[in-house]
Amino acid sequence: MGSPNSQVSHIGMILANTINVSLTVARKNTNSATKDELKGKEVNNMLWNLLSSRMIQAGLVFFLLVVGGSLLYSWHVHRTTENDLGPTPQTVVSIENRSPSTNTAPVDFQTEGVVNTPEENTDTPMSDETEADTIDETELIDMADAFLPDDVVSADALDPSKMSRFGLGPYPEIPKEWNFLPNSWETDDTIEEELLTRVAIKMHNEGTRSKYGSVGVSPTGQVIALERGSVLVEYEIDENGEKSIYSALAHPDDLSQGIYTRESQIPSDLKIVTADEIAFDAYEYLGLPK
Amino acid sequence: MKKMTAFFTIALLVCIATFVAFASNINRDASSSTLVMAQTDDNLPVYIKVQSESNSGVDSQGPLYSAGSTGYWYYRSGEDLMININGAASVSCSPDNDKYRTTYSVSAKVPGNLDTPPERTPQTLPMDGSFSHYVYRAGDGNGLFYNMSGAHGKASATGKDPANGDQHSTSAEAPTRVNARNLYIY
Repeated sequence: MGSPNSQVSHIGMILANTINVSLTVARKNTNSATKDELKGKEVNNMLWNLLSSRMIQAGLVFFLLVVGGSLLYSWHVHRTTENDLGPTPQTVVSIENRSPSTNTAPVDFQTEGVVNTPEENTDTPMSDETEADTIDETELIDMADAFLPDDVVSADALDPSKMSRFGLGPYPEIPKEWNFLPNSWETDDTIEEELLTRVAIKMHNEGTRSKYGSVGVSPTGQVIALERGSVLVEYEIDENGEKSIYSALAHPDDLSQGIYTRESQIPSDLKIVTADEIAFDAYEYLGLPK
Repeated sequence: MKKMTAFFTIALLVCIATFVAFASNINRDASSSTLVMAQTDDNLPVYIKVQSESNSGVDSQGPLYSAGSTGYWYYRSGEDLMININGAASVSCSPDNDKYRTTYSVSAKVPGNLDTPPERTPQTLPMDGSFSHYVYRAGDGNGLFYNMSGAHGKASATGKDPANGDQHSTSAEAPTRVNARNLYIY
């Protein structure tokens, strides 16, 4: 330990050094703030120079045009697809899926002109809550199912989206591997188209569809299933009394040699068939009433 | 600045024109109509003008193809004037899956009563899978229908893929001298 004077001078030196260090730090902070401001100005200048460049402006405008055009086209495709596919039918909730809470309003028989006479009722009165606990709506449905055949009342029968628009009954299940769109039945615009879809499903399930190159259904409900290598022809008798072919239907590869107007022109490796020989009734095949 | 404005105006117009053309003709592969006509052979007597005319229109979109054609041939065989007029139409579909659904119509006709009936329009039916269908009408009027016109061959088809919702349509018919896009006279 030294004298008090030397201690005071030592403390003074420490203070002086501390103040000096503080001033240096403050000066350094001031310098860094100035640098940040300069940097900010530089960035602003750079951005201004960049944005004022005509090429950049042109690029931005072009970018906006491309984005706008894409959105416009996307909207157009969406709209035309919706038009083509038609309105989505309103989903009808099956009676089994209905919440039991629906239609629980008490019925006021008095307003219906019926007079309740408690004196005549010998049964023990039950509160509404007890009835709700006792009678379950699903039980009612089960009871109805027990007394009615499935083909008369079923959940599908109450769901229009699962029923034919042409009175052909419930839709059969479309094979999952076909990956059809969910509303594919709605795209069948005519009864012939729906019959054709049903025929195709049945042929697929029976494993016979692959035998045919094409399958069609005529307005009279006749299925035309044409095997590869067969030519379906329609004849008429010309003015010379000869059989003349005026219509031919076949796989594209089998008609690649041009128009056949006489049987003799058809290559021998092709089988000539007529509608009478190959057509069969779609309703009979599907087990549907006409 | 004026150049830039002009550039972007033109670019915008091109974009709009491309959009309209693309949207209205999406997936259109080819379409044409051609009329080939032979000039009158002046070396023959005036009352028998030998000429021929063959007209065809084709169109295709996606897996669908349609064509319509007519032909008029007037020629001499000795002292006789021979006439052959025909009309033909066809639709063809070659999809990549047998679920593709096509609904089509084909019709062929010859003028007058060269044959009975003069027009053939088979019942149209929806078809699944690959097929080609044509109808053909021809007639020889024994010289009675010289310089006759009015034959036609026309076809149209629409198709849809139920797996992805793709839709296509095509139609074609034999052109006349008025509406043929390509006219060849030889």
